[in-house]
This record gives sequence, structure tokens and C-alpha cells, in this order.
Amino acid sequence: MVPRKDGAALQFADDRHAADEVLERYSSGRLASPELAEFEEHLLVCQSCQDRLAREDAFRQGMHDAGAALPQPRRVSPWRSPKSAWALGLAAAGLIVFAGIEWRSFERPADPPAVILLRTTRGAENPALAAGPAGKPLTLVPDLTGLQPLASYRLEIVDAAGRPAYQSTEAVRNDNLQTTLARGLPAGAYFVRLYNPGGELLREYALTVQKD
Amino acid sequence: MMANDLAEDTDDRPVSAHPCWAELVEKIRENDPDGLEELYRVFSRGVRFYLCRQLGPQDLDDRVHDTFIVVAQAIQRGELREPDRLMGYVRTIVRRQVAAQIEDNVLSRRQQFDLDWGLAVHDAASNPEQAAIRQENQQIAVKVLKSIAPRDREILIRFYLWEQPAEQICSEMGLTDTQFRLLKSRAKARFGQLGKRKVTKRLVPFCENNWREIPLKG
Repeated sequence: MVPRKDGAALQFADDRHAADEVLERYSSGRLASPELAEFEEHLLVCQSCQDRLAREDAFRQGMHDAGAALPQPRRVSPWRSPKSAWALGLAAAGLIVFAGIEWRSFERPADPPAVILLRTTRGAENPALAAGPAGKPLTLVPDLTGLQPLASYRLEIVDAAGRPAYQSTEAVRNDNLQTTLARGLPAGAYFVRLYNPGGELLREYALTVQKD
Repeated sequence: MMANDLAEDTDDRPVSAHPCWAELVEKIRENDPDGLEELYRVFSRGVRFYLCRQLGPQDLDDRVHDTFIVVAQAIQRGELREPDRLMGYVRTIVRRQVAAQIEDNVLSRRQQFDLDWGLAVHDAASNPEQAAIRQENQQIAVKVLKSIAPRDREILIRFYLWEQPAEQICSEMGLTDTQFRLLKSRAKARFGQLGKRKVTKRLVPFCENNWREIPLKG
């Protein structure tokens, strides 16, 4: 077995199956080398892990489908913890007082960005392209599965005619790459391109932005 | 059974035995049909799975076939120096195939735009049937998500939608790592069970007891 810092183990080194946690990280594009190579090699010859990964991909897709249709979910847990409940209660009381004094200066907060997972997956089980609302803030999270892990990537968005619409360089945090477009994009078809710092094109994702 | 048990159960089971790589590579080098057949038997499902996951089902058979030709020819040219690294070598070739296909797609799209073709981008929208299926699936997923316990729902939303790391979820929800894993597995299993049940319910009018054969006239 290959021990990891967090105590979990990758089970493929000695011809055993991958743990659920490994499948989850691979499915979300967060499995990095050397585990990535080891897992993908195992995946080539292991039907059981192929099936489990397909289920995990389908589950992830189901969750994202549900998430797209749900209203912005409320975080319920802090109220369950007595400490957090007290802290939040005090903070809420402070806010009410502050709001009473400064009510007029309050502006309606901006919409939270819609989180769009950009995937290269276009298999039969997952035919949908990434889609987001037009003219609203968007947070794009490209799937990095299979890419050489880098500290940062350059992202470029072009419209259907190939005209640049957005560009940024983003650092990877917690194995996760994301960029936020505060003003969003007009409705249309776009391609999100991912480059390494040397300017080499690594991947391209399709993105559709639709009017609400 | 909790979903996490799956990995724990399967951890002890070895992967189905694969052949001695050195012997297999030697057979392929000698262009032995048995060797080529065995290579295909061992890797075809995995290669197909990987290619389909990365590139979609279009031209899948051709892509799988091309991959095997590339692998076999490379081995015959002596490019695989360590036969025990066959799995890694096949993976490298498959990844190159995927990268080449993506590059090809990008180039051809650019060329189409250069030629100023009127309809260079296909309509990315689903057809009405796909859209209806997708909407139904979405409705089921939402119903299921709403029907599971709030704590389970929160774990799934934090993990899958907000993509929060396990450490953050544990800290904010006051869970140990083990509790988090167990709760997440339970939530996934519950989501799967309820999802299946809802799909089955929708299918009931079309199955078994409700099915009536329509007699042919005359």
C-alpha cells in the first residue's frame, strides 16, 4: 500500500482496489501525481474500479444537476453547535443594531456567483455541456483530471467566433482551480482554454451561457 | 450497507489476475496473434472507458482501435524498454491520444472560423428529448436531495457543490474525520436508494402488473 499523510491509503500498488476517497478525488479532478498515474494505470485493467468510478461520476453529475435547480442553499450547521449559535446570535444582534443606524447606506448585496464545473467528460452518461446564467457572476471550476499538476494555470475564454472574452492567471488552492467573473458573460457559446505558464494549450472546455 | 463499505469490502479482493507483462510484451514483439489478442482482452475495456470519459462516445471504436495499433507498433519497434511498465506505457499512449484529439478539435475549429463558415459551432443545446430527460433527472435529484436528513444533505452540498475540503467540513460541522466519512457514505447511499425508488415509481405504470397486452383486431 501507499500510505498518505492523512492516513488514507491508495490500494492499487499491491493489486487491490482504490478507496472511495481516491475515486472521489479522481472524479472531481483533484487526484494529483504520483497517485494519479498509479490510479489511472490500475483503472485500465480493473473493471470493478471502472464501474465504481462511473457511479461516482453519475452521482457527482446528479448532485450538480440538483444544485443547479436548488435555491442558494442555507448553511444549517452553525446553529447546531451551541458555541457557533451564541456567536452567530451575538453577531446577528450586532447587525440588527448596525442596520438600524446605517440602514440607508445598505445596498442590496450582489448575487452570489453561479458555480460552473467545467468538465471534459462528454460520455454517454454525462452528455450535458456546462451552462451558466447570462449577465451574472460566474465562478468557473475547470476539471484538472489527468493534467500535470501545476502551481498556476492561465485561463482564457473566447466566444464562438474565437474573440477573447476574458483572461486570467489563477493559482491552484487545495487542489482546486477556479476563477470568478464578477460581471459574468453575455449569453452565447464560449470555449474556456487552459494553458500552462509557458503558454501551451492543455485543455479546452465548452461553456454555454444562457439567458434566465 | 453504507457506501464506504464498498471500498472496505473490496480492498481485500485482489484485482483480477493479469498476465505476466514480460511474456505478453515478448509475444507482441514477435507479432504473435495470441499476444495481440491478449493485449486487447486485458486493456480494451479500460482504454474504452478512459477514452469515452475524456472524449465522449463519438468514434469510440475507431479511437480504441487506433490506440491498440499505436501500442502494438511501438512495442514492436522496441520503444517499451521495461516490459513490467506496460500498464504505464499504455496509459501514456492513451493520454497522448486524448491530447492529440483535443488539439485536433481546437485546430479544426480555428480553421473553420478562419474560413468564415456560417455555422462553425454546432448548437450545444440538448434536443427536446434530451432536455426533457435532463429536466426529469434534475427534478428527481432535487426531490431526493430535499428528502434526506438535513445533516446528510449539508454534507453532500458542502462536499459536492461547494467543493469544500474534508478538513473544512469537519471543522465547521464539528465532525471527526471518521464521522465525516461515515456520514458522507451514508448520505450517498441514501441518495442512491431514494433516487432509485423515485425512478422506479415513475416507471411503475409501464411495468409488470400494469402491463396489458393489446389484442390484435381480427
